[in-house]
Amino acid sequence: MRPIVTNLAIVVTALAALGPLRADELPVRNCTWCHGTSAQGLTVAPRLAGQREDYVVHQLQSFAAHKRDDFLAEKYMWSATANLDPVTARNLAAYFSSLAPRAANDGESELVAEGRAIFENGVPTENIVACQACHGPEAQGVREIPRLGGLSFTYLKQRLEQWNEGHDALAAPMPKVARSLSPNRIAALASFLSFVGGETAEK
Amino acid sequence: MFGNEELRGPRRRALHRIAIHVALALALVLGAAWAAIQPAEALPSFARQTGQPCSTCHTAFPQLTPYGRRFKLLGYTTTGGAYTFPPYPPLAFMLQSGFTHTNSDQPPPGGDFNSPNNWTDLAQQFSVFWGGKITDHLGAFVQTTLSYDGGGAAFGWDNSDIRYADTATLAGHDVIWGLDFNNNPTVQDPWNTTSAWAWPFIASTFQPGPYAATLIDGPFGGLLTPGNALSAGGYVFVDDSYYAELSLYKTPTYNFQTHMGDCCASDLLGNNITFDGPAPYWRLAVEKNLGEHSIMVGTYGMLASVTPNDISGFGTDKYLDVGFDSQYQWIHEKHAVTLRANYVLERQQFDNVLSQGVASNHIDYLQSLKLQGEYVYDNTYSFGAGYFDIRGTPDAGIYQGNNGVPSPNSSGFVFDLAYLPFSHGGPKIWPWANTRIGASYTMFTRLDGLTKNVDGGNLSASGNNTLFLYAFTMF
Repeated sequence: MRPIVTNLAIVVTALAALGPLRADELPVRNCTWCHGTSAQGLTVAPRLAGQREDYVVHQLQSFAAHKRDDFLAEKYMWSATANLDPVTARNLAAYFSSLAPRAANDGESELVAEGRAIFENGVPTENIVACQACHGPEAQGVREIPRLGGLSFTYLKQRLEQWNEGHDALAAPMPKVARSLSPNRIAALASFLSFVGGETAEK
Repeated sequence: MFGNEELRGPRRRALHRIAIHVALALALVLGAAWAAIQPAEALPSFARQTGQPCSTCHTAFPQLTPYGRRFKLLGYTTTGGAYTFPPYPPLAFMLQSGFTHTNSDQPPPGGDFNSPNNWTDLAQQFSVFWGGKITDHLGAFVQTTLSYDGGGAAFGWDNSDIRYADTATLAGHDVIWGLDFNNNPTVQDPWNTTSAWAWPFIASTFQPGPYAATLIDGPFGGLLTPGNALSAGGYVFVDDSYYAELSLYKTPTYNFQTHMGDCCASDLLGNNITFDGPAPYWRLAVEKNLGEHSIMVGTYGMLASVTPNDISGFGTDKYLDVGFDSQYQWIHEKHAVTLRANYVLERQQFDNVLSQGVASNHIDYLQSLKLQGEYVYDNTYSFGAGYFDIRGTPDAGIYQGNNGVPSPNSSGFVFDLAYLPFSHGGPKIWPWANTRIGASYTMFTRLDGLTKNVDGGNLSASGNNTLFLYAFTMF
């Protein structure tokens, strides 16, 4: 038994030295275990780093109220926000908005030019509005309007498709905007935006 | 343990009766609550702690998703649910019940099971878990199991994994790092390609199987089972992609292992395995995630010097296990596909058992291969199929029990069909419960080197084919 006792003593001492009793002020890892260690996005979970604080708060409210009702929102975020108090939600949003965003750079590069044209100018003949009118020339967002630049291709594409499918219907004006976009244009926009703020976009 | 490794230990019929009564009482309670449906979860204590449904971390439990792997690497400490410790202790329970039928009759297992076939075991395993955080950075998955194999019930320390974890940024790279202490090599691994959490996730206590296994893996697990070796180690997971771990294992004293319910792991000759000094275990893996796709390629292994039965004077046997594994996952809304591959090459240098005159060769090799695929629909219906193959150097000394055929070679297929009715709704009084009701079929195309006469009589390899009907309930 002696070696076990000795080993346990070493373990306990090591853990004590590392301060396992330290409590976190903000439960950041409750978000980053899915959104990535520095919140740059992971699999289907979007990047939170650099996202607009007001937008994040508004989305957390939408999840909690089940207004944002696409498949992934219902699967993950309804329960993630069910016990989230407004103060913590605001503090988490402020924290993530303060992190420097990195571009996903995962779109289809041959679609970037078409996506850029729609983003900057819209398609006037088809009454498709220019995205930059609201989201800003660098797709950086403002207040409750999200930063789009550098979000992952998969997330951007899914989000636009979800409005087309009738989800999150109260998020005016996006359901109406997305309905006017063909699948090809959605792919082009998502491709272009995934490179914004990244190295590839500069070339 | 979730696998089919037989728990040895003192026979305690009283404990078995308690287990049966607990099982029946819980079945009644769950049955009475069946009609009332609420959102349901997986390892119930994890679900209460995180507030997340089972499907966040599992496709069909216990198979992990990318998020489940990170929850584990972060030390089981993330929260978000309404019931966290303190004050709510993250306790959970497991009951495994099953019916086993083999193609041909077998020698009766003994005890209450004196028939040559068709065994019903209502409490094959009953487990209590601490599963969740202790502090914000310290968490534990500790399982104790009351198992019953016909001869009697045995209470033992089962899979256990205690972690201290945190995140950091180093030179612009995101790092999850942790210290890990566990009692079974690979129980700490977040991918389901290694042995502790390998598919099939449940198997019969009575299923016949291959004689040979490597130290850390085999068709149905390695030689080491929970409690046979204790580790201290550390790991890093860099940029959510690059995983590296180093742990050192020591075998506890026989006395300690006996007290914890299972003394001891045996080598292929039936000698107790005692490590001569710490045995290093290493793990390197790359996991890349792109949208709904996740792919991992990795390697792992262990180097152990073993003194069989702790008898000095004959030197030590050296085991070097080197494994390569890969897992691919595609999770699209209600569809989840998981493909797994695992290959372990073991080099056995028998300095001890050769000088004792037991082994025939100085150096033997053993190779274990597993290829598996699983499809899960809506976290509710699971179908899996797998191939296994173990082969190695013929050794008349090591494999003398194999009916005169000195070969470790075995191969076959496993199929598993499961229904997880509570993935979208558990009983209202305990909405975190989940259950996996299934049927598995294990086919042997070769067993211990033979296709026919594997028992020295008329039993063919396929005579050991096993149908297992089971209920695997977490609550």
